[in-house]
Order: sequence, then structure tokens, then C-alpha cells
Amino acid sequence: MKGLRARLAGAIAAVLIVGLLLPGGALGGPKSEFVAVAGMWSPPNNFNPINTDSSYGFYCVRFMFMGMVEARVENNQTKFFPALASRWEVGADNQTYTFTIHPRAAWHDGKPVTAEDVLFTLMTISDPRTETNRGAQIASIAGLDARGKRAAGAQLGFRILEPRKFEIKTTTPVDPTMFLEMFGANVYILPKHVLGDVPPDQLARHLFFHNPTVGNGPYKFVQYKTDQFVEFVLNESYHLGAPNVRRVFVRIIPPTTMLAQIERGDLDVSAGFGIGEVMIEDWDRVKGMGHVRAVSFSAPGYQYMLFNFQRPYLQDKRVRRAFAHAINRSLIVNQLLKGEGELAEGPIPPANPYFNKKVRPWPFDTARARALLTEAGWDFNRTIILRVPTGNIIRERSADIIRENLIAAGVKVEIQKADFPTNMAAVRAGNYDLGLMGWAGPTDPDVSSQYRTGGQYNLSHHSIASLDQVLDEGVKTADPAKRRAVYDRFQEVFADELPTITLYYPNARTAVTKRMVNVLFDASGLFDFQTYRWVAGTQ
Amino acid sequence: MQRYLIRRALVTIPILFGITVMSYFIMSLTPGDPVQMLINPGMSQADVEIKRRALGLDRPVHVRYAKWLNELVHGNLGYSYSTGAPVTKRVGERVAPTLTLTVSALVLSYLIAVPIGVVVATRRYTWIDYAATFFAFLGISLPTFFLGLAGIYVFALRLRWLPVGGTMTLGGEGGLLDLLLHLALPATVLAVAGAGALTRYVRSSMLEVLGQDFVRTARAKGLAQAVVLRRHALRNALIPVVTLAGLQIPALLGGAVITEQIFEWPGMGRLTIEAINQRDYPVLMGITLITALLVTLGNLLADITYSLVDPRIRYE
Repeated sequence: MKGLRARLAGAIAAVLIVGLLLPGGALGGPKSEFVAVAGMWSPPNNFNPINTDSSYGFYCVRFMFMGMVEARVENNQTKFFPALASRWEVGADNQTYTFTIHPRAAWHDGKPVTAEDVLFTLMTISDPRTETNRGAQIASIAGLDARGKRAAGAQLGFRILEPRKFEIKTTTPVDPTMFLEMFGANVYILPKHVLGDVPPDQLARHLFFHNPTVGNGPYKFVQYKTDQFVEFVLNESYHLGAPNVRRVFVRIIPPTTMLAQIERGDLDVSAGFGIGEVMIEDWDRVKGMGHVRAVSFSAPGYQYMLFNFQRPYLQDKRVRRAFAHAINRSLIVNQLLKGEGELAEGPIPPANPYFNKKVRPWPFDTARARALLTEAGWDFNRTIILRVPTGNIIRERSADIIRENLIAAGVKVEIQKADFPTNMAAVRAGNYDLGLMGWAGPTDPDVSSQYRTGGQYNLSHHSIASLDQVLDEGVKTADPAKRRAVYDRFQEVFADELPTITLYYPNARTAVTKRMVNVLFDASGLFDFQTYRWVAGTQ
Repeated sequence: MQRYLIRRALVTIPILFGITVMSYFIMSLTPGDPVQMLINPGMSQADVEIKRRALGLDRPVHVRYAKWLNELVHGNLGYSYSTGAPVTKRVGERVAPTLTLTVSALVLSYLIAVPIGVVVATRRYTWIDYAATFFAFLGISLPTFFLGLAGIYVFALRLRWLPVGGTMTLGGEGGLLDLLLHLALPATVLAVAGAGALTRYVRSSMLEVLGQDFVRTARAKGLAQAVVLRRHALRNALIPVVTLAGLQIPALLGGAVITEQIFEWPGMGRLTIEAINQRDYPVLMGITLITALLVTLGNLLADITYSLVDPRIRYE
């Protein structure tokens, strides 16, 4: 027994020693008015501004890195504010853009941010050897092909005018709002003096993106404790003025315990749309908490239903219209989302400046659906497959409502669920009839990648001439007023053709502690991009 | 013994090779690939193709495996598809937290199970035995998911004695006390789940020993009940129970998926789930290889311990 006791003691000691081997904690005092904690569901994969594959990584990146401008939707207009650039001019031809970098804009190691850094970033993204996900954002720049890659021997439409001033030319005239959002707000600048010598094909694996100590944004990277939290500290010399909150922790908190963290006051902000929200079943409870503001806002994300156009029986417009009439979308929003969502017939959100109010969703009408199906010669004995990716509980529940609705209209439906990658593979291979999918896009209304023939995310495999025509016109139209008219027309064509059915636009449901002010969510973003404006009081 | 060990080690090599071949090919049959599932409006088709090439996904599976094996022989486990970090780093940084949690839980479950098991074995068919049985089965059948959330509700939310999750206080100094505070709930939840089965095990093993001749002899000599139990019965009864611990080594490193998820614990279980969801093959292969190694090692250790505690067993 003695031996046993000694062994047990040894085991306990071993546990304690292993415990001590765990890296120690962060420095800093207890939570005060200078500390804020944001919570998101999953860990970031890396902190690579041009290649982070998830919104989780991106949420962290934007504390540390910036683009030339910041885009915000105000009074139904996309407006641009200085970020790295203090001034920008659009040439009369809508093809020449001049940016002046803020005189005090600097990297976290003190080196100035220059036009060379911008050029380096563009050359890196357009290099056919670089792993990146920003190619589409720069495709309009002269010298690059439609995929944002440098053609051999092509001259990039980029000229350095002064160390902190440069000019970019686009291949054709484009709407300045589109260019400013894509290049200006969505391309974050990389430090040439740190990464300039890294071979492009090695860049994605560079350890800098796991320890990005040289950024250009309002916050500096301190540490990332795997799967637990990312820590940032304010950048004292941030060129637009140091933030009020000294230290920000982004904690990784599973959806199941986020409510407990909010209730205890451990969490100040839930990160935002699709990465850290209040679960719908907890929503009423959060609304009732005294120390928290429950903020719901229209986000640019939506859920939609795909038709597989490779199936001849889904190519008839009347069949798709029948499905739109058959599905009770208001019921989904009212029951599953407790009313926290909106309906629209099209891929441009109601909160977007380009939203066409005149286009109404097809009303719920089972009898009309049945009549249209009969008219189109639908085979009522046919069973079709509805593919549903798991992971989004509300979407999974909505599949059951959709199935019931379609059965009521006489359509036999079988649901097949699979995890996201499996489901995606089936959809890409055209191995389905109907599919549920989610999407979140930028403010710019160009949705060619999803709805144009051969578009990269055209998962329906559809090819509709009238849609292609209006989408191409939208990209080519440089005059903002005319362009708006084109997208108004696009939404009409969309509702008529129904390449997909837009099921609902869920609001993002977030919780913000009342001790924080200036936590702002707007329709341009999935989350609050302006964390440097956060102001916290003591609890 | 030495020859036996060498033989076992040599057998391990083809086993590991077979495991990696099978895992790699089964994995490649999984629908969905790591690049195809990326949806990003800013990403052009060219970006997708570049990524696919960079990860080597454009090559047939046997070529990919050969390349992976070649890298492995040179001591390189490759790079994670989703983060770009070396697999050794991604897996390595989870070893300490995983062991901290699982070893504490294991020790705790033995501390709970052995005394209870012994007591109920000596008081068979009394109310205490029935009560222990009831709780043992409760421990076995309650999902850790429920236990974890209930624990959080009571101790973190209502009583506020313990934190909801994580391994350290944000902005705090860390340190041992802080770690123990954060460890208390997840380790207890895991231990309770494991202690149920273990209690039954100790009980039956003890009952078997108590019925044997040498125990009767000890009692006949007039030894006190406590001495009989401690000096004679318990030692023999614990032999198979100790061996169990050896067999649990791979499970210890495998982590505890659900518990880690609920308590924000940065362990191996969570990494495995993440890697599966992202189809991060290199990371999954790294985990598979390490787990396979541990299973073979664990089995070997269990066998050796057995021969140490039980003189009747000899390996030649």
C-alpha cells in the first residue's frame, strides 16, 4: 500500500509538473476599462491578410492590417474613409486612381508605409505562384487578366509618383465605388521590408503569418494561444490616433458556452455574423440581461436554395417559380429566426445601397405552385433530392419546413444531409436536385462569380443569357447612377428567372456589454470593422 | 526479455507502414477536398488552382502518398493545409495541454474508483453497494456533454467558483493555481465519466481475490480485516486494474473531443475534429501516425507491467 501511495503521489506530482510546463500567462492587470474581450466560435487558421481562408482569421487580421480606405454604409450609401491613405482622387476617365498615403502611416516596427509596400502587395497577389484569395479583388487593374494574375511580360498599371503617392490604372473605366471597395478596402498591405525576399511559393507557409509582429493597423499582435485566445495591444503611434482600449483579447468560445460567458461578464462583444453570434434560443434571455445590449443588424449574408440546372426538369422557369411560391419563407423567418431576418427575391441584401425595393418576393401560395407545376408538365411521381450541409442548425431545420411545403404542392422530396465538404463535393459534381447553401458577399453588387455562366461559384451550373448580359453590363458601366439602374434591372431579371431561390437574410445577433460604447455594426460588414473606435468604461 | 523487445519493435514497423497506407487511401476516398470547399468572393478561379497545385492535390493519390512517406523518412511530417504551419508544430503544441487534462482525469478517476470499489466489494449486496452501482451506471451513461454543461451552470454561472473555460485567466499571470482552477471542471467531468466503469472493475476484481484461498488463510491466521484487505487482497486485485492504465495511454493523448470543445481546452481531440472538418490531411496523418505509435507502445508497456507485477508471466 505504501508503494501504491508513493506511486499515486508520483502521478499527482507528474500532473503538476506537466501543468507547470504549460506556457505562462499574458502580462497585464485584471479586466479594466482598458481591456476588451471579443468572442468567436472557432480558432483562426492563420493571420495572412491575403490568404486567410476563414472569417475567423480575417476577424483577427483586421485589428493589425489595413487597406487604403475603409468602406462603411451610411444612409444607404457606401462611403469611404481614410485608412492608410489620407487622400485619393478619381480621374475624370474613371480609370485613373491616385492615392496619397498618410504622412504618419507606419509599420509596427517604426518603418514608414510607402507606395513600395503597395506595389509589393499587388505584385505578390498577382504572381501566379502565390497562394492567395484576393485575386478577384485586383482583377480590374491594367496588366492583369480577369483572374487577377499577371500575364507574361505585362506591365502593371501602377506608378509611384512620390514615396507615399501612387497611381493605379484600370484596364477599362470602372465604377469608382466598386474599385474603392475592392482594391481600396479589401486589399490589406503587406510589409515589403519583412516579406520582400520570401519566394512567392513559400509565402503561405511563412511563420510571419503565425506571428505577425509587423502590421500597420491600430492594434499590434501580442500572442496567439492555440485554440484559446489572440491578444492584441494598442499601437501607440497609430496614425489616426491611438485607440481607447489598450488590450483586446479575441477568445475562442464554443457556441454552447458563449451565453454563460456573456452572463458572467467575461465577454464584452460577440464577434459578429457567422463567427460569433447569440444563438436564437438564447436571444430572449440576452435581451433580458441588464448589463448587455442585444444588437441585431442586417448583415450581407443570406441562405439560398440551389437548383441543379443539369436536370432537364428543373430548367423550366415555371417549375422554379412554383417552388418559390411553394416555400413558406415567412414561416421560416418567424418560427426559426424569431422574426430576426428579412425576405428578398435576389442576392442583394435589403440593407445594401443597391437593393431594388420594387422587386418583391413571390408570395407563398401552394395552389399557385401546384398549378404552375401542372402547366410545366411536372411528373408528380418523381422524387427529388434536397442536399443539406450540416453545421448551421437553423438551415437544417429550415430543410424540414421546405420539404413539408414542397410535399404540400405535390413534389416528393428526400433530404440528404452531409458535412460541409462532402456536401460541397456532391454539389460541385452536380450530384443533386436541390441544395441549401449560405453566402456572404461584399457591398458591391457584382455577383458574376455566382450567377454568370461558368462563374466560379455558379453551383447551379446554370447558363441564362439575360442574366449574363445584365451582369456584364454592370461590370462595364463606370457611371455610378447608370450602374445602379443596371443592377435594379438585374434584380428584376433575377426574380423572373430564379436561378436560385433566396430563402432569407438572417440578422446578425450580437451581444455587447453596456460598459462599451462605439461598438458599431453596419451593413457593409459581417462584423465591426472599426474596433479602434471602441471605448470601454469600468464595470 | 531483450530478444522479446527487439522482436516486438521489428513487428511494429510493418504495422505502422500498413496503418499509414490504409489511412492515407481511405482519407483520399472521403468526399470533399480541402480546396473545393473554400468559398470566398475575393478568390478567383486562378487562386483556387494555384492553391490546389501548391498543396499537391493535382497529383494522383499514390504519388502523394509516396511523397509524404519520403518526407516522413526525412523526419518531416509536412505542412497543414489550412494554416500553412508545420504539422509537428500544430500537433506538438497540443501535447502538454492534452496530457495535463487527461492524466489529471485519469489519476482523479483512480482516486475515486479504487476506494469505492474496495468498500463495495467488502459490503456486497448492502445499500452502499446498490448506491455505488447506481452512481457508477449514472457516470457511465450520462453524456460528458451534459455533465460538462451542468457543471458550468452550477459552478461557473450560479456559484461563480470556477471559470467557464480556457486554461488561464485572460490578462492574468497564469501560474499553477490559475491552471488548477481552470482544470478543475473539465478534469472532474472526464474523471466522473471514467470512474463509473473503473469502480465496477475494481469491485469485481476485488471480489474474485477475496474468494481465494490465501485470503481465507490470512483471515484464519487472525489478521485484522483491514490488514487482510490492504496487505493481501488489494495488491492482487489491483494487478489487472493497473494494466488498464497502460492500455489507456493512447486514449490519453487522443484527448477528449467533447470535453475539450465545451471547456475551450486546446487539446488533441479538438485538433482532430478541426482537421477532419477542414480535410486537413497532413495533420490527420500526423495524428494517425502518433496515435498508432502510442497504441503499440501502450500495449507493449501493458504487457511489460504485467510481467513485473505478476511473477507467473515471463516473456522469452
